[in-house]
Amino acid sequence: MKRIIVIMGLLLGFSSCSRQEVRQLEFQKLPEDMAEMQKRIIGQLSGKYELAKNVRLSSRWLPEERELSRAYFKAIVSQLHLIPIEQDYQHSNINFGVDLLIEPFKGTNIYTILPATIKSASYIVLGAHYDSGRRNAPGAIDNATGVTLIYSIVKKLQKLNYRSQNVILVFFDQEEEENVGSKEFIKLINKNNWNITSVHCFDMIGWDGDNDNAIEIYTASESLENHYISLANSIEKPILNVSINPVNYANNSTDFDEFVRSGFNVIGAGECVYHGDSTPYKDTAKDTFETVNFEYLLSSTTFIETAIKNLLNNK
Amino acid sequence: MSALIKLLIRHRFFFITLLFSLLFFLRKAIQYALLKSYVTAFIILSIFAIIGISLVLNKKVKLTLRFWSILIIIWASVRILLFLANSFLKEISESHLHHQLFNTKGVIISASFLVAGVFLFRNSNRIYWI
Repeated sequence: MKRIIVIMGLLLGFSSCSRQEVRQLEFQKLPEDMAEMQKRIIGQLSGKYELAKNVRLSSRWLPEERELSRAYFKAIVSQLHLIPIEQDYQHSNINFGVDLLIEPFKGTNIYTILPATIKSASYIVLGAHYDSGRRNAPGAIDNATGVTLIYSIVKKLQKLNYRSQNVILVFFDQEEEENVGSKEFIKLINKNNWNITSVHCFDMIGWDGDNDNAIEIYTASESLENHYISLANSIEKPILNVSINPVNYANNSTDFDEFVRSGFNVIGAGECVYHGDSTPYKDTAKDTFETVNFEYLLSSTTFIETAIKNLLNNK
Repeated sequence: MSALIKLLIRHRFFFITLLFSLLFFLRKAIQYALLKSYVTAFIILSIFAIIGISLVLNKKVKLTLRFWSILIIIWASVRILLFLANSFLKEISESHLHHQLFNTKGVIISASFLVAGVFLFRNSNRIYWI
């Protein structure tokens, strides 16, 4: 019995020491052309293309895969000449029974701040989660599309001569596991006492089965709802709306829900999940690059970019 | 005091195993207290208080050690059962659980604590506080 315990102890020691550090990776520079850039990012995050030399992701589910994804995000944020910041966190489990059995959630959000062109203490948050929902689910639509969309928008916003507010770009970790990343980011917002004027969350925005080019929004904020709808109407972009009642709000399926519960002025947007036009391959191995409708993604990017630009133009 | 030291030396393997198991859960209690999960910390510290009082007062020591060893056996068994269910019934989709319970390190931890729990249980009647 003693020998078994000693052997177990040794094995435990070896397994604890055997963690490999993410080696220094070299990432390619992204194309300047928006459409090409979006294809490249989604291709690299979903395993269509190599993420870096001899590195290809099959999903963003395992901690090692998410760590590689973060290294990639840091590299592409740096390509915008912005500073990527890691928010490491630990978060307790859903109840104390699970706490007793296992360790807390451990993850890392990556964010950056695009500063306003004038002195401003206000912030707009653009967020999307980067983890995928299952082992071997490449997560091209869920949610490489959301990540790509917010990155593309910030790249465009950077070129504006006037921005009345700071913009926070955040890639949430562990949305697929109780929205832990966004819960922790809300704690960071409160800790830093940032004045957040609006939060825009994007989850799955690459499927348009009926080719109507419609975008779906969901919000409890009348001002944001009006802002998006009036813009859509002005350019004749089909828009479908889901009104949310924030009182006793119990939904828990995406990062957007956490911001609603915390009382933020938040809007979510994406393909028409609530109206039945959404990828059938969510959380499966078929959620691949080939299923992404890139024209739809680009069109939606342009629409949301304009919506955010209009918010930043307010003097 | 010298008698206590002699006891500790004579049964050093037992005490090292006991100490290691207690430290593992003490770390867990502190970790969760820092995360403001006070119920978890309270449960662990309450069990520690029972063990501590028993050892200090030298009362029901055997019973207390058996109680602790049974808790460890239950803890490890539940983890191993989850591992078996994940392997042979249905894969759990949460990466967080998967990473902790079903990888090599997680399985070694579960198996180690199961063996340690059985060891503590079998030897608890040999240890007498002097």
